[in-house]
Amino acid sequence: VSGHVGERLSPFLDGELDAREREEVARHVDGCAECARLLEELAAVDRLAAGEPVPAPEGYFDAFAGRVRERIRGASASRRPRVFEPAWLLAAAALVVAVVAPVLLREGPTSAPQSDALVAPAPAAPAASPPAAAVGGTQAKGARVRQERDELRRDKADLKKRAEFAPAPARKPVPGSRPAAPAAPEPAVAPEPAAVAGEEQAYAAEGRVVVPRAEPDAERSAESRPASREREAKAEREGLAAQAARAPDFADAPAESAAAPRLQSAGPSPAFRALLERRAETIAEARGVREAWRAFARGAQGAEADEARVRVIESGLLAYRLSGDRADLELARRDAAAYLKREDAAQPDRVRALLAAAR
Amino acid sequence: VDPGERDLIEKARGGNLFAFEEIVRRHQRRVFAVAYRILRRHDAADDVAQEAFVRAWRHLREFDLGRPFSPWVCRIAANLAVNEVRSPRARETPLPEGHAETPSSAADPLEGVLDAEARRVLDAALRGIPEEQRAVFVLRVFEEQSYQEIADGLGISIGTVMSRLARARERLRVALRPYLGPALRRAGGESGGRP
Repeated sequence: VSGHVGERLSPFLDGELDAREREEVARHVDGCAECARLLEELAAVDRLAAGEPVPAPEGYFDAFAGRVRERIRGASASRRPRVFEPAWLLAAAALVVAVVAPVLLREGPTSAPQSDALVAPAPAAPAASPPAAAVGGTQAKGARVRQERDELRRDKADLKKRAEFAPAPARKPVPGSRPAAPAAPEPAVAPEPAAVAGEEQAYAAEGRVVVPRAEPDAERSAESRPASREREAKAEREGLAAQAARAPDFADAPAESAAAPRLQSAGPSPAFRALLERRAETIAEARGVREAWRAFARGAQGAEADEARVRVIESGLLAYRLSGDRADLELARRDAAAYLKREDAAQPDRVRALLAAAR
Repeated sequence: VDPGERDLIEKARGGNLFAFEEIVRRHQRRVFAVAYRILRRHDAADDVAQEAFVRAWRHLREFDLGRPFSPWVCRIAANLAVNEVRSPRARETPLPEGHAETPSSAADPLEGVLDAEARRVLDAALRGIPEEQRAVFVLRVFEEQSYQEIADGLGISIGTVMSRLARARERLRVALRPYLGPALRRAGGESGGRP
C-alpha cells in the first residue's frame, strides 16, 4: 500500500493494533484523503469477498457426514493389527482347507470371514480396538450401544438449532493457553476413539443414519457386499484361495462387480492386483483410480486389459456420483462408447448395465 | 461450546460415532467452505474437509471444551488445505476454471451483471494470490479469527499473519478496484442509514 500508514491500514481495519498505534493511524486517516480512500477500499474488498458463494453439487452435504463416518471406520480398520484383516483370514482359511480339508468338508463349506459385513476393507474386530475391548462382551456392547442411541435420540429432540452455518465466534483476545490445532502431518496423539461397527449397523437398520437414495457410499456398499461374498465363494471354487495364500493381498481386493471375468489361469499380474486394491472414497480418489485403470489398460492384454477398460468406466461413474460434475459423466459415456465399439469387448452387457444405472 | 454440543463431544470422545456424525452435520458447510476457499477446487476441498473431521475425531481428547468447536476444526481444515496446496500432486494439477455463475441477488439487472463479473474477477484474484496469503485471508475475513488464533493455528508469528494479510488485501484491492464501487456505495448507504 502506497501511503502514509502503509501496511498498518490492514491491522487497523481488523482492530489488531495496540491503543497507541490505533490512535496514530486514526489521526492520520482523518487528515489524509488518500489513506482514507485506501482504507475504504480494503474494507470493500473484505465485504466483496465475504459474499462469495461456495459452490457445491446439489445434495453434496446430505451425504457428507456419512462419508466421514466411512472414512473414520476405514482409518480405524487400517490401524488394527493385520491379523484381523480378511486377506490374512482368507489365506489362513486356504491353508486350513489344504491341511484339514476332510474335517471341514464334514462340517460344511468353508465360509469367508463375515467380519467385513459393513465395509469391505474394515473388518469389524471390536476386540482389536481399545474402547470396544473395555466394554466387554457382545451383550454388554449391545446394551451400551442401545443406551447411547437412546440418549442421543433424546438429545436430538432438544437440539432445535441445526444451522450448519453457525454464527462466527465473537472476536476476542486469546490467551496463550489454548491448545494449537493439530498440524498436518498430524502429531502423535492419544488413542483415537474407536467406532463400534455393531452400533452403527443397529442405527442404520433403524434409519437413524440418513442416507439419501443417491448416496454413493450406500450404493457402493450395497452393491459390493453380496458381490464380495459371491466372489469369495467363486474364488474358493476355482482354487484361487490357494493362490491367495501365496499372495494374500488379492483376497482383499474390492469386488465391485460380480460379473468380472475369469482372469488368466496364471493369476492376475501384480500391477492388476495393486489396482484392484485401490479404493476411492473421494472425488479425487475416484478420478485417480479411473486414470490409473486407463493407463494400465494401455499396456495390458487379454482379460486384464478388458477388465481394466470396464473399470475405467466404473470408476468414472463413481467419480460422477461423488462429484455431480457432468464432465465426469460425459467422459464415462465416451469411455463406454469406445469400449462397446471394440470387437474384443468381452463384457458389453456389464457396461450397458453400468450406463443404465447412471441415468 | 453450547451445552448440547458439549454433550455430543463428550459422547464422541467415548467412541460414539453417531454423536460425532451430528457434530459433522453442524459444521460441515463451514469446514468445506474454508477448504474450498483456500484450495479453489471442489474435489480437493472435499478430501480436505473429510480429513479435517477425521483428524478432529482422532484428536477430540485434546479439544478444549471451554472453546467453540468450529474455529478449531476450521483451523485443522486450513492447515490441511495449505499442506495440500503445497503437495507435489497439487502443483502438477492446474486449478480448474471458475465454477458456473451463480444467479445474482441484485434487483437491478445491470448491477446483477456487475456483481457476477465482480465474482468472476474475485475468484480469479483469489486464485492468483499465494496459498499462504490466501489461508490467512480466509481465516480472517470469512472465519473472523483473531491474528493470535490464526498464528496459533497455522504455526506462524503474528507479524507474519499481519504481513500476509496486508499483502493479500492489497493484491485483491488492485485486482478488484473497478468493482469496488457497488461495495463502497453499499457501505456508504449502510453508514448513511445509521442514526
